[in-house]
This record gives sequence, C-alpha cells and structure tokens, in this order.
Amino acid sequence: MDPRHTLEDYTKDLKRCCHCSMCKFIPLIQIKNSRHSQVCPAISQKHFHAFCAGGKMHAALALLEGRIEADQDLLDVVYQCSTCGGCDVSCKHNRDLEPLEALFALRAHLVREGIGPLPEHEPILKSMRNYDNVWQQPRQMKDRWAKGLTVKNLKKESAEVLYFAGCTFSLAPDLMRVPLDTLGILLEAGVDVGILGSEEPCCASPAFTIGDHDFFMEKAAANIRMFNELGIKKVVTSCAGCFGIMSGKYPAVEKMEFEVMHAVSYIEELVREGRIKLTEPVRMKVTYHDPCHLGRQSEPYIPWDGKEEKVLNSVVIHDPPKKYRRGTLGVYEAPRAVLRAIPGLELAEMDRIREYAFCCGSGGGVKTAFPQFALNAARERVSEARETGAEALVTACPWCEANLGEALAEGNGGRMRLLDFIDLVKIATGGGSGE
Amino acid sequence: MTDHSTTQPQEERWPNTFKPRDAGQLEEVIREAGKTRTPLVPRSSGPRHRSGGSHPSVSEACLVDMSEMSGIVRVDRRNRAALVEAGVTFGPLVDELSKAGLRANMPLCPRASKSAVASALEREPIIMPRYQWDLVDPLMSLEIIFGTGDLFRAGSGAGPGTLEEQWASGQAQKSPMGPSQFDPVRLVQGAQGTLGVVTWASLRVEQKPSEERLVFVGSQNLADLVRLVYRLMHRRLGEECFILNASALASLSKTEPGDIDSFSRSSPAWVLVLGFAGFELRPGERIDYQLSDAGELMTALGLEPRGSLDGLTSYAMRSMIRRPSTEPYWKDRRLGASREIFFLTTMDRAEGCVKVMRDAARKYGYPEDQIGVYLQPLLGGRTAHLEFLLPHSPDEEIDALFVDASRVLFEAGAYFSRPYGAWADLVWRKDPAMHRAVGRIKAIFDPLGIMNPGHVGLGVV
Amino acid sequence: MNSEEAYRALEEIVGPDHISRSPLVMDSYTFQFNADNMTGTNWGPFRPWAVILPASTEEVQAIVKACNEYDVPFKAFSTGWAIMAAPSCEGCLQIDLRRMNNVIEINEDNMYAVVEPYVACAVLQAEAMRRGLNCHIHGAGSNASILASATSVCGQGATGVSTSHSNRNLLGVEWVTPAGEVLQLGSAGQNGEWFTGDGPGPSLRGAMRGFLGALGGIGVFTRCAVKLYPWYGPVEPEVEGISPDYYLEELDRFAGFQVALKDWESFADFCYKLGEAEIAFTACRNAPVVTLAAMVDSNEAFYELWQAGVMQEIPYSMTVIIDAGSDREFEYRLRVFHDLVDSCKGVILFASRIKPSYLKYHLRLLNWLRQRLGAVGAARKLARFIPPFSRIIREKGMDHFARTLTSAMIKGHMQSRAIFRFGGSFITSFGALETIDNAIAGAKAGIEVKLPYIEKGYLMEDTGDNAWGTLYEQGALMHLEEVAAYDPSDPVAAKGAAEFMGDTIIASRDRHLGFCFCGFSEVGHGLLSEDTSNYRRWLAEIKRAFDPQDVSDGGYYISEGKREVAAGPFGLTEYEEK
Repeated sequence: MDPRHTLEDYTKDLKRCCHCSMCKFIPLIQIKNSRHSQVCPAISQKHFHAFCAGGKMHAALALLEGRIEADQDLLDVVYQCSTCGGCDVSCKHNRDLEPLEALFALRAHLVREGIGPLPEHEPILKSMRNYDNVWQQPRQMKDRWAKGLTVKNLKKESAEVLYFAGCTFSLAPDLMRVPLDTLGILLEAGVDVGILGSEEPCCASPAFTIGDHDFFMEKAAANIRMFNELGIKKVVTSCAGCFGIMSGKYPAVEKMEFEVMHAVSYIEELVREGRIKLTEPVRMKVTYHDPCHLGRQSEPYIPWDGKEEKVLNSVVIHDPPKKYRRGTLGVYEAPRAVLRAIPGLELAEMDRIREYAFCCGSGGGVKTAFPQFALNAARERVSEARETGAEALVTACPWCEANLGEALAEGNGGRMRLLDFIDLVKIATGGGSGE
Repeated sequence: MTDHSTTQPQEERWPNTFKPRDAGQLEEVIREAGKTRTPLVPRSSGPRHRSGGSHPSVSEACLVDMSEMSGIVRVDRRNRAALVEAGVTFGPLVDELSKAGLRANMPLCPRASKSAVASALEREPIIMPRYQWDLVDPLMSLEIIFGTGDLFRAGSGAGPGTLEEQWASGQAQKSPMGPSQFDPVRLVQGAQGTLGVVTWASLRVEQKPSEERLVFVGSQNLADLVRLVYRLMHRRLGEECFILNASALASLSKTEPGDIDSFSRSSPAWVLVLGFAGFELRPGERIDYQLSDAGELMTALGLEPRGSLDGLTSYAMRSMIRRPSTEPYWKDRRLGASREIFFLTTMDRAEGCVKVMRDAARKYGYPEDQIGVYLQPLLGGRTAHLEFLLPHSPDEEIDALFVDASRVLFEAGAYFSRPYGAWADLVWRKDPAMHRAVGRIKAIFDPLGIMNPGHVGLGVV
Repeated sequence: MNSEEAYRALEEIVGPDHISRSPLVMDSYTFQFNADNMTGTNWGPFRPWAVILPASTEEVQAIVKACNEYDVPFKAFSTGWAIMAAPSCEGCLQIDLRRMNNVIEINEDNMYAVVEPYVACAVLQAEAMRRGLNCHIHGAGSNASILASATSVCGQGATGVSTSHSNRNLLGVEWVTPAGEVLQLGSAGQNGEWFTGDGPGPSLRGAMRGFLGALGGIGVFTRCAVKLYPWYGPVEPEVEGISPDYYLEELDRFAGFQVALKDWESFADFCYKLGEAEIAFTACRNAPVVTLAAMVDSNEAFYELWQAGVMQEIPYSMTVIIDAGSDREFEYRLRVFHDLVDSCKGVILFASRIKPSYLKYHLRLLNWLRQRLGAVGAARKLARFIPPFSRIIREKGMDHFARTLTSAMIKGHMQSRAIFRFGGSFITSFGALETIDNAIAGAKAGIEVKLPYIEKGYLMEDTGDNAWGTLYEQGALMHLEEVAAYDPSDPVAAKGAAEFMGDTIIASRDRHLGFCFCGFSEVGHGLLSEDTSNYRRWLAEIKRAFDPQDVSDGGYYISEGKREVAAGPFGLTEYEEK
C-alpha cells in the first residue's frame, strides 16, 4: 500500500465488504480438514466478529461515521491482530477489496489522531528513532554478529550485493548464527557481497505495521536514498520482515534503484547455478512454515494511479484496470526447492501453507503488546506442524523463530525442533553436523 | 374406552360412520363435531386394519370413512406427480400411473385396500430407497381439514392460488415444504389423524422403466447382505432394494401354507431383492453397467446374483412387488394372522435387533424360524425400516410376546418413529419433553381434542 | 432497556471473555449485507444490546432461560451472513454460536454427519471427502454454516440435482426452544443416534423451519445431522492454480460442461430429460452475467467481454457435471449426456474434456447467432468478443472456463465473487421450489419485473436475466431465483432494490408462481398469506406455542406485536402495492 493513503481513502472498500466471513477461513477450496480451516489468529482466539478483518473494516467505518469512539476497546481490537494478511488473501480470492491495507490505514489513523499505538509499542518506536533498531541496543552493537568475518563494508567499498542482516538477526544472541552462516555461504559461493555493519539502518517495518506511517515514510525514504547513493544493485536479507517491507512497501515511498531478495531466493538461485552445492545428506523429515512477510506480504508493490467508475449502473471498474496483490506472488517455491534439493531431506507440508499459511502470531506489534495472544497462535502452528510428523520445523524469519521457539519450548512440539532455513543449507553444504 | 395398546384391533363395523364425498361436507361435519365434542376417527383404507392407528379408542367416536373420496385428480407425467384423494387405493393408482408411463413409490405389497395417501401419511416404508430423498417422501402436498374445522393446504400446493391456477403456471404440488416458515405436511404426517382429516395429497411418482431386471442375492448371513446394500447405496445402484429372511420371503412369494413352509426351508436364510431398470435413453446399457458394477460388489463379498430362487423367478417377484398384495394379505398367509413389530434403525444395527427379537421369541416359546424379517433401507440407505412378522393362527394370542419384544427392542435402541398403540407409551416415557412439544402442536390444530383421541399418546376426550 | 442484572446473569453463564456490549463489537454485528435496503446505510436498524458466545448446548439453554427471566429478546446465528442474521428489534441479545464448531460425527456407512452450528460447509465437505462422501452446499457458499442452512434458512445449492436441498437433508436436530427446553427431534431423542429427525409421531421438523427457515425466530439449533452423499473423487482433491484462479485438479470420472439451448422451451425439455436420465452431479443454471463474472478475474475483464454482446445471446445455458463411481458408469453417463444434448439440439459451449467432435456445436452456435443477429451483426459482435476471450485462453489455458465453473460447483467457494464483486451487493427473489416449468415461468417473470428497475438505474444492467437456480433430486424439483446486483453505497439504488423485491413478491403471488422465497416476515405474510391458505394464523400459533414470552426475535419470522420489529424483508414496511 501507499503509506500516504488515509483511512478515508478506503471508505468504499469498507462499505463494500459483504460480511461473508471468508476472511476468517483459509481460501475455502484449500480447506483440508476441520482442524485447520481458520486463517486468522485473532478471530480464532477472540471470537467476536470485530476481531476478523471484516469486523475491523466495520469498526473503521463506524469510526469514520462517528458511530463509535476511538477508545480502548477499539485499540484492543485493532492491535490484537498480527497483520499477517491471511484475511487479505482469502478475501481477494473473490473480491477486489483491500482489507489489510484498510487495517494498516486504520492503525495509521489512530496514530495520527494521537490515540494509537498502545503504550507497549512506544519503546519500539522510540528505539527505532533513537537507536535505529527495535531492540533498544546501541547502534554499534549491530555489527557484533559479523565480528571476525572478513567482509566488505559497503560504506567504504562497493560490492554487487548488500547483505542486510536486520535488527533482530543482528542483535538477538540466539539468532546471530543465521546472518553469520548466510553470509559465510554467500562468500563461499563467491558472491561479491558486503554489509553495512554498525551503520545498517532499521528497515522500519515495525513502524509501518504499528501505524506510525509518518516515521515509516521518513525512514524508508532515507534508507532508499542511502542504498541508491551507495550504488547498491541488490539487497539480500535473511529477515522476512525487512524483505517484506522493502519488497511490498518501499516502492510506494520512493524510486528504488536496487533489487531486494530474501536470502532463500538468492540461495535458491545460487543452487540452481551450481554455485552452492548441496552435497551432504540431511536425513530428516521437516516441515516448512511460510513467514507472512516472506510469503503473502512480500508480494511486490503494484502502483496504481487511476480512477474508479461505475458502468452498467452498478459495476465498479477502474481506469486503468487495477491489479490486486492477492498474496500469491510471495516467496513460496524458493525455500521448498532448496529443501527438496537437499539429499535425504523429506519435506512434509502442513495443511496451511504458502499464501494461506497460518501466522505464527508474532507480527503487527502483537508479541510486544499481547504476548499471550502471540504465544497461543504459535501453539496452534506448532501443533499443526507436529501433525506432519516432522522432526524439525523450518522457517526463515527471526520473529517467527522467536515466537514458535517459545511455543516449542513448552513441549507442544514433542521432539520436533526449530531450525532456520540456513541451518539446513549449512549442513547440506558440509558446514555443520545438524546437531 | 377400549385399550388397543396391547391388542391387535379387531375388524368390526363401527356403528357411527360418516362417508364424506367432498371437502365441504367434511368441514361441516368437523365443525359440528367440535360443537358436540364428538371424537372423529379418520380412516382412508379398507380392512383389515393392522396397526390400529385408525381404530377408534372411544366408543362414542364417529368414524370418518374416506373411501368415497377416491378420485385420482391428476396424473402429471412430465413432473412425475399424482394428486389423489384420500380413498384411492394402490391398485387403481398403479394402473392409472402405468397408463401415463409412471410407477408408484410403493410399500412392499400393501394390502389391496390400503389407501395410497394413508400409506404416505403413515410413513410406510417404500421399496425403492434411492428415490426417497427425505423421510417425508413420497408425500408432497396435501389438503387437510384441521380439528378446528379449517381447511388448509400444505406444501407448495398451499399456494398462492388455487390448484388450477398453480397448474397453469406449471406447478404440480411437488414440494412438501412450506408454505412460508413451517412445514405442516411434516406435522400431519405421522400424526395418525390426530390433527385433522386429509382429503387429498400429491405423491411423488417415478418414471416407468422401459426395461427391467431383478436379481436375488442369497446369503446365510445378514451382515454380508447389509454390507452389500451399503455399497450399493453408496454407488446409487439399483431400484427396488430390500432384504427378507426366508420366512418372510416365503410368505410374500407363496400363498399356500405348505408351500410357504417348504420354500422357507429351501431358501437361503437371507435374500436381497434387487431391481434394475433402464429408462428412455439406452435402457439396456444402463441395466448392463449397473448389473456389472453391482456384480463386482457382490463378488468382492463372496455373493452372487441369481435370476430365480427355488422356482421363484425374478419376473414373478417383479410383477408381485409392483402391485398390492393378493389375498390373503402376504403377512397373514403363513398361519392366517400376524403381528408386526417395526421401527427405524440403521442397517448396521439390524443383526443385533434380530438377535434381540429371537431371544424374546425363545423366552415365549415362539418358534424362531417362524419369525419373518423384513429389512428395508430407506432414505438412500441412511435409515432402515426393520420389521418382524410374527405369524400366528387367528385364535392364538401372542400379545405378551408382542409387548415384551417391543420393550426389549426399544431398550436395545429400536426407534419407534410411528408409535402405534403400546409403542407410544414407550417413546413418550423416554422423552417427555418431545411429548409435551407434540402436545402443543395438537393443541393448535385440534384444540378441542376431537381428532382421533388417544392415538400417538395424544389427548383423550 | 435490559437490566444490568440481566447482563450479569448472562456473564455468569459464559464468563466475562465471552460476552460484550462494547459499541464497537456491537457494530460489527450491526453491519450486514442488505441492511442498506432498510436503512440506506451499511448498518442494520438495531445494534444488538450485547453479544454472547456460548460454547455448549447447556450454555445456550441457560442463556435462553435467562432471556425469558429478564425479558431479553435474543437472536442466534451460526456463521451469520445477511441482515436476517442480525437483530430486528431493540435491546436484542445476539447469540453468536461461533465457539460451537465441532464436526461431532461422520457416519460413513449411514452417510450422515452430526455438526455444531459453526461448521462451515467447506469444513464438513473436506472431512466428508476424506471418507468418500460429500455434502450439499447451499447457494450462500461453503463459507456458511451447514447447520444454519439445514435448520434455519432456505438451502438451495448448486449440486442439488444429486445432493437434494438443505431442508430435505436434515436428519436429527437438537433444538433449544425459545422457552428454554432442549428437544432432540427424531431418533436422537430416543436412542442418541441421529439417523432421522422425524417423529416419534408427527415430525417437529414441520414446526421448526419450513421452506424459508424461521431465520432465528424460533429458538436456537445447537446440533443437527445432515445427509451426506457419495463422493467419487479423491479424498483430498489437489488444488492447482493461483488466486484468484484456484482450480481442483482434473478429477477422474468427472466431466464438466456448459450447455446452451436455443430457447426456454428446449432448456426446459433438456432439464426434464437430464433429471430423468439420472446422470448429473450438478445441473445448475447461471445467467450469462454470472457465468462470465465467475470465469474472469476482474470487473474490467467482465465488462470488456460483456460489452461485446455475445454472452447475452446465449442465455439458456446450464453447467452440468457428470460424475460416476466406475468407468462403465462414466462411459454410460457421457453417452447419455451427449444423446441428450443432441436430442435437445443443444450446444456444448465448453467442456473440461474438449473433443474435436464438439466443432459441430460451435457451428450450431454460429448458426443461432446468425439467425438472431444477421450475418453482419453476429460477425460484429464476435469480432469484439474473440480478442479478449482468446487472450484469456492464452493466459489461462483452454480449459480455464470449464475448470473454473466445475471447481466452483463442487466446492462452493466462489459465491461472493460472481455477484458481490460487481457493485458490492445483491438482492434476490422468486425462487419457489417446484417444477422445472414453474421455475422457468418465474425466471421469465423475473426479467419482466426487473427491467423497469434497471431502466431507473437502480439495478445492474444485466439484460434483466440473472436467474440462478438448479435442479434438485434428479429433476424432481427446480428453483430459479432472480438475482439483482446493485451498489450498496448508493442509498437510492438500495431503496430501489427493496422496491424491486416487493414487486417480485406481488408478481409471484398474482401470477401464481409458487411461494416466493423472500416472502418471510410480516410484510411477506401480509402479501402472501391470504392467497396461500391463510397460513399466517397457524404460523403465529406455532410461534406462540413455542415462544410464549416472545423472546426469540421474530422480526424475520413472525411477529406477535409485543416488540417493535424491523421493517422486513428488506425494509418493506413502507411498501405499498401498486
């Protein structure tokens, strides 16, 4: 979406919702059983209609029309949502509406009106402003993960590829192995790659999802300008959040002279080209969790600047025709292709995958403000993963890993363990034992 | 008051009988009866009445004999529908339908005097389960004069408009639903005349085959046949489909007691009667593929189809089940009389019920091999009518067995959906809330309680 | 106004997390499609007083008893779609049955399922297919509750030719009556098995729903059994394609066809013969406007093709899916199907398995167009139609149209596309469930009644013909309803749509076209009862007998005047017969 859009810009979408409740389910044709038919972590837990996408659209309309106050009840509904976009995929299977954009616009509206976000979100926003990361860590801590690694710093020298580690992978001690191993594999493959070290900026994705669109615009514009000025042609990141925002939202902010790829896609490309060789067997049955920001939310931004008109008395058409992001053009096949290429590895799919994957529950500021809500969603996902009989749950997003890891730590997954995509690639390239 | 809850009603000429010739007369009589609080007992079929649903339970009752309202009002080939008055029996109906290229959804060889409308109103089982989409079938619309004296049409025949106006717009009173937000057809069906008197009903009928085949599948084991029927139903194969044990099949197919005995000894213990039909387009091919597919299902279970059974040809069986029973009525042939215990269950429970029945018979010294068993899949195989025929000589009393067996079967899960006589007590004791609810319905349509009091466990004057 | 005490009593039953009276939460239940016909806005006329989320029959019963005690009207819903699910009176407790979402039993041999209210058709279907079974999916789509369809609303669905109708698929029922009594109709009340809902004695199914359903006016249905039907496809059909073009994999022994007939008369003959042949899994009529909308991925693409004017010339068409349980059966059915098309001089417009011999149909189609439009007229329209049509085929494949329609018919997953995408809403009427001839008479009348409303600009310009419907039970019954799309954000159009609805009720009555399926509530009864055996009196007595305190919100059912209820259906209190 274009972060400049206001809630009022979505009024017609709000009014044309038909209350069909499809936003609660995965696309109906994809339902495989009664256990895994729901797509929305919010309505699945809270049950009142207000918590589904349709309900939040009704709330937005009620707010615009002065039927309700912007009060704590509204904040509870609006922010107990991981903004995963599952609803958006299900709605857009049939309708040309923008439920997820409307929800982001509602959050932005609340923030601009000084009502949102929640107090729990304030430290994140402050941290982004003050420390250029979401973890309230000094800027110089951001290159700690790469200590000892010989790699170009793109502030000083140039390279074909910028490896963008992202705040969470850079700063969370448990997860630092991911950027380290990824970069190691890229270097091993002979990629001309560099990093920004302690000067790597925050992508500002949390600012967007929480609703501080003014700060997001400012920050995204600065990042784009920086990358453009540095002459970077390709940004590769292991963080789904960073990837999703750069792919799906940045293009609306300013012209980008660089391409953005998630590491899974880049590695898949290198595997195809034979530059990365997956030779070591990994005898393991795994299942793959599609992170929302790597999947449906990463679908490239499609600009549209036209007008709506009505023909045949009541048929709404757009001039020029408007293309909708239906969530299906996210990154789904690349991680699977790599996993399938690992000798000995068996990929067992969950019931809800790809564009209709069930969210881990961590996004949209939920983990910060409603940790129990986030954990409940993760439990649901872990239980679904466990049903596949997989020994490992694999994903490619630091937020998913943290949240799913918490659910797994409770024992919900039995002996199933959590792996990052890169962990398996590392073993398969002879870089680790898998223990 | 005569209590018919345990004894089979005796045929007798009821002193106080009224035979309406049209709905107007009937309305008048019902209104009058309301004023004088005279109980009215509707009866559409001729003797011999078996279940007692239309037998007056109070001596001052007036019998409303519908036999003179016996017009076949309309047969509609295109829409496969017939609208008939209450007194129309199966024989004339079958003939009339046949002329139009149609056939009735028949019970298994009903009495010749049985009213087709009464049969449908009583939810008698029909022998072609594939054509029964709802237990209400083949009943569609009807006209009734309630106990209040008000004439009412139910189902799509309710309107808007008269029957003639509906016909003009292409309708055929083909739906039992409505009008509007209730389904009075369903309330009237199964009420045993306790809500009012039905004057006509429209019945769902089927196209007449242009080619037919019928096979017998014998087995010593009921469970095998049940498995086969489930598979046939899942494949929607066949037309007529029912299972009889040797005793019941003998009674149905033979008329002389001696023949019945010998046939029941020579026949397989259980026999599935399975019809196939072809219609306008490629009839032979239809029968061929269905027989082949059904044959494979049979082979998989170690069963095989047979064209005849100890002299009983499939042609004879086909002819027999397309018409009412010849006299004597088939259930009475073996010993001159019979009591029937019937209920709904599912086919997978039938074998258990048979065991319960046999145990009960043993307890009373009733010969087990004399018990006739008729298992009729209904509703495309989702439900089944299970009937035990207890032949006895007319001077023999088997009431105690009847009552006790009914009780133990009920306790074993038999669902007496048509609670005649003593069965009403069983079902209402089990579910008093439903009894109260049914009572509320009765109070609406027959607030004075004049309609067939004492039946279905509902109100005695 | 309801008391604080009442709220506390209800809260006691479900706990504080499962009851709310926040205006925001209430408004999410006030917003409903077709509310605009009543209020000119997206909001229904009454915001609920509170919303409650019970998790069991016991909780529902306790809630209903509390409503009787505190004189609180209540309205329950399952998946809750359309204004009839919302309260029609002030101070109403909305009972949202979402937490009761279990498939309790699937009885494979006896082909039925026992479900709770929030089991969507798509969910039951997925579970049923795993066991070689399928369920009837009503026209609302597989997102909607199967229990609601079976117990409380009308229940027509695209596969009715082989899967009957929701009313008739109902077996056992658990019913919390408005007085708070729990009834289990049929076998369930006697032996705990759900294989039939009729009896003992009279069937109380007759008191609880009717043709139209009581729309929440007669208590709460907490559990029911529905018939299942054989499914000869795979246990978990693969889904191919990407949104919005999801398709089922090509299914063995399934074949989908779009068949066109020359006129209504031959269409009727085809329907009768198809029914009697007993070969169809689906026999569903979509008007050209909806057929086209379902097959393209945007309104723009629809408009481009529609403007070519070709689809409008082939309106008498039907989607037919043939299924079979064996190769022999499949071959037989296909042969019969082709015999039928040929004997009715029909045209196979497209098919999931295209054969070279189908060229003859396209030649016949060209001949029709030439006869209707003249050679030049036909050529002109085809010249506009073929380029965008070819583009779609190039992009999506030759089988796109057949696969889309076949998948939609089987899975019921696209209902909100074909009609809501146009302008945002629709309204529908006629729809009596009777014979094929009568359904077609209704469709013809529908066009006549609709055209003036199109001319006024209220309803979508769809040639007047948007009759959707299907055969049931191998042609024993048929319904065709006249659908009209409009823009709900335009209050004038919304009001016009409501007036159209009123006219359709009158037309179906005066032309004796069967019971119009929007003829519910007091307005419907007022217009129809007198010509329909004066049924209102009996319906009112049933309501009184089961709801002595009039607590089950009857605005869309029957109202006894105790409470002021919404204008209905569709805001028609002000409707006056012209």
